Amino acid sequence: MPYLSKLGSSFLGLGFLMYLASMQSQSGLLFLVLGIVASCFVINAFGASWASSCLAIVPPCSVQGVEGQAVEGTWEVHNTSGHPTGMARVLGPWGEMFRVGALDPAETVHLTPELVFDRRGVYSFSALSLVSSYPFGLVRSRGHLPLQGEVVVYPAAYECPAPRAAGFEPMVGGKFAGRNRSASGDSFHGIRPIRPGDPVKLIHWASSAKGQGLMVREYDEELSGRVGIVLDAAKGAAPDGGPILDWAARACASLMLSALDAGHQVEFVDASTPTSLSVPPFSDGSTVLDHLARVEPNRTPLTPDDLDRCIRALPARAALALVLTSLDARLVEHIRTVLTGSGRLVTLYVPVTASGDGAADLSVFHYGPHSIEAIPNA
Amino acid sequence: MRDATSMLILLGLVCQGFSFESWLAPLLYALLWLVCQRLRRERPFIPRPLEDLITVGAVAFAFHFGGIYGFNRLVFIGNALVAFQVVRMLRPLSPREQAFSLAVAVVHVCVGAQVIVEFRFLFVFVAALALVPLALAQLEAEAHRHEILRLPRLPRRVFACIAVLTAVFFLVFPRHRFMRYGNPFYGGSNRRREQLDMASGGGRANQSLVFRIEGEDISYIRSSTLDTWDGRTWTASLWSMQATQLRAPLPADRQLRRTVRVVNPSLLGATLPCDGAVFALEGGILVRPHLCRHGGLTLPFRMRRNIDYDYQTVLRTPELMLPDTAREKYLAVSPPSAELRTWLDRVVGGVAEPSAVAGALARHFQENHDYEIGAPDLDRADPVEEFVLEQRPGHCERFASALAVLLRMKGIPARVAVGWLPTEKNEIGGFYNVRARHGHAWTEAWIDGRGWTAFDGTPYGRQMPVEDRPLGLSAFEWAEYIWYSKIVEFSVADQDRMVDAIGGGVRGAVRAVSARLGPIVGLFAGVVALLLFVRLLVSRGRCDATGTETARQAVREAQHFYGRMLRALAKQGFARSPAQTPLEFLQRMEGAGHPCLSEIRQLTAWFCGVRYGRRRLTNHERVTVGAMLRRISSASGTGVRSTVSSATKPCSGRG
Repeated sequence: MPYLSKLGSSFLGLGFLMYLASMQSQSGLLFLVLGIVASCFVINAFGASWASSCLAIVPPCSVQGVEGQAVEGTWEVHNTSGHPTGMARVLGPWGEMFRVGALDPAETVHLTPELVFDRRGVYSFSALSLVSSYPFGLVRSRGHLPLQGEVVVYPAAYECPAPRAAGFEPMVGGKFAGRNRSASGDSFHGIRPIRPGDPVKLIHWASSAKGQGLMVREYDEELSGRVGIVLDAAKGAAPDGGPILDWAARACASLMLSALDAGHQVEFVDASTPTSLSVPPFSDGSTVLDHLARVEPNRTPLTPDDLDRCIRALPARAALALVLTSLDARLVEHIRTVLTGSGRLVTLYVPVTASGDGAADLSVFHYGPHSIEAIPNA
Repeated sequence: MRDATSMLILLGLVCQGFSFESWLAPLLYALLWLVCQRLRRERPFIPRPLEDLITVGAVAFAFHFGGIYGFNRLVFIGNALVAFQVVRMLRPLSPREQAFSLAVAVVHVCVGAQVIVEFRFLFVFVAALALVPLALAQLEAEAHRHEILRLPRLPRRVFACIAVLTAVFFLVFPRHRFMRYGNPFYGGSNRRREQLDMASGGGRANQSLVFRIEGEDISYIRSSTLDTWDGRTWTASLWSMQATQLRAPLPADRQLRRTVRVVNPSLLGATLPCDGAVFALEGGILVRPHLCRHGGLTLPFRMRRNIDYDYQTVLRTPELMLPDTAREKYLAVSPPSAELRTWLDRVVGGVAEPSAVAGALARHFQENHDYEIGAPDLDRADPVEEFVLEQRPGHCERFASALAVLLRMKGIPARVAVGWLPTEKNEIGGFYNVRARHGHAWTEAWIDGRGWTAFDGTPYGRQMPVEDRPLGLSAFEWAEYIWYSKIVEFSVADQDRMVDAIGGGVRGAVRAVSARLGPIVGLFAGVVALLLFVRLLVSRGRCDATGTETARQAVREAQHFYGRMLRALAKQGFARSPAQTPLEFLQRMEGAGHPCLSEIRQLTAWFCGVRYGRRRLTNHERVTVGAMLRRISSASGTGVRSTVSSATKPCSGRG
């Protein structure tokens, strides 16, 4: 259904004033000028309705984005009619995706949205609509776009110290050196005399030439730790007005990426769906990021039972990074007695609004909207 | 620089300049526009507060001094907005500011529609018809610019539609004039009392066109009547100029409608030409005219601008009676000499009936006197005696004065009427051009049972022949008359008449057709209805075949990409003959060994699936279609050329 734009409303008001002026005017020529403007309204109403029905929008198969950054992906807009059209905007409940200029008959253009999503989440294409104001911008027509797909906006990660890891295991590319030596790796340890079975390519010819026999190279064993991240997806409000879960999701994403950068293997689980996601070292972590984009706030706060259920889904030797939305005394006591008492390496991450006084004997970090910092007294 | 918005601003400035009723102001405004375009800089060199100050000051100045020109002050505020436009032309504007400048330009064009009412407004209209849509489209295109600004190409049919819609809007949009009886933005002026000096020899009038009048049975058009005779001059008494009420409508069979277009108001003063007994008046008159006791229409001050009005009148008013007080005024005459009384009795003889007396005297003057403009002055002591007894020549005023005096001497109420005797009829339009040289004076006598009746003693009188006009000149005057009466002054009454005419025409046509051609028309209507029904069935069948509108759109999309593929292949020498089905063409391409055979095969399969199998493409397939078409289009290398000859062999008929 066509409706007036701001420009159209302004010109309608202007036309009304001119009509009032015509009441004390002798010359009827004023109605010719008003007729031109009125005709533009009529043509615009038809043109906008036409444009909203003959523009074919082809979105990319999947669109990813990060909070605060423009989404990726190129959209194809095709004029299916044999007439010029265009001047449309693709709108969603969250804002304007992109604008389409004038299109010639059967012309196709590819456009990249410049929309920036401020919050993580999944934004479905089914909510998109096409608003056209072709050709004069006085009247607009809105049509629903029957598109399938979604924009997945990952939480924005920031630089932070990597979480503590445990359960180190040999892994090619691991950034931690073990006590054993290996025949390959990045960290050169030294040379030793050759033994039966050593490959010829390990021979260090420069040392062997000194007359002490054949010497082979030896490398430090590369180890990789394990980190289990548990997200408390409880409902709550952050100081900036948004859900506290957004802060927690960003903290999880940041911890995961920094752990991956450190060469650890990450296991992730959130309290609402206690199924772990495993992320091997040096991967991009898109699985967890996608999960973090989709996670919904849980109505009930995290209980010790929930925590136990989450931890059971994680490897037993992994260090635990518990990203909590609040610091409950009962939960802290449970962590202290059950987890820390069993020798499990546990680090707590709580919002800056939560005090870490009750967990002074534990390793506690504060996370904010864009940072993770250690509590000095902890 | 010379985009549509700038050109529309120029048009608005020129239109606004014409509010000074000279060519100098439009030229200066156009020059100002050019200078501003030259001085335009990316960085503004006039501070914003100063811009606002200039605009506000200009508005105050215009409102205060605008009335000096005796014109509508609101129009002069438009001149203040010129300052607004000028300061904004010196810098780049935001979209909101551009929209505002565009609106001000439209206001200026509207002002032009008020001050340019001649044919030259057609140029303004055509320019506005082209520039307003273009400027709006340009503004909207800039709001939707993505990477590079590409102005929309408005097809000619858009302009044609706008022209047609504008005409429809002009014809059917309701228009009212609420302030025609008293406009605070207009000032008053002096009035002039009519006076006629019988002793004067008179002078020749020029060819200036005073007004045009249209109607049936037009003869004497009265401007004013003079009822007071002091022995030398006739004047209009204040009593006769007092306002009175319009008469109640008289029987419809005697009603006559007149349409008057005043072209040169300065020659009319404050009077509106009319004839007979006026009982209804309408039109674009800004202040209420009043009907005087003498039967004429008078404005409270002199007219400044051209006006147009209609009135309804009756030429004979047997229902009206002359009051006794008025009868005394119209019989007042200075005592005549014995010689004049003897002469009067001799000419009139024993006739007593008033109209016969008046007719006999008028005939006597016509047969025994000469008409001469610029004749020697008469004796100012007793001009009537000298004129009558010595048979002096004279002009119409002398004959009218003498006849009125003689009638009063015979006890018949009489007065002198001044006005015009239209003789220049436009044969194309059926209206009369009334010029200054058509000015005339005649005598009106009160005849019981007929009312005021005109008697003309001037020798040429009613026998004045209708003037011949060249056809070209008549056509031009007719066009001018149509322009003013049907376009510039198009009114609610015209709208009503148009609706009545259309309704009457349709009803008449229906009646005529039903009476004479009923069976044929019925058969024709039946055939048309049958064809429409068949078309509806066919379209419904097509709709069922393809499903919903979305399915039809998918088919169009498939035809589009398949057509693109065919065009790309045709450029490479693989033209598809119209008789080939898609699968036959595919088999031919497989035989030719095109390097992108898999893409062609896939596109053909998708096209057939959508076109004939109700299949719909997925988004991924749509994306893939574009890539495939690009690969096919780019495959114009040697691999393709080597296969052209073999591929075209079947088509050549020599293979």
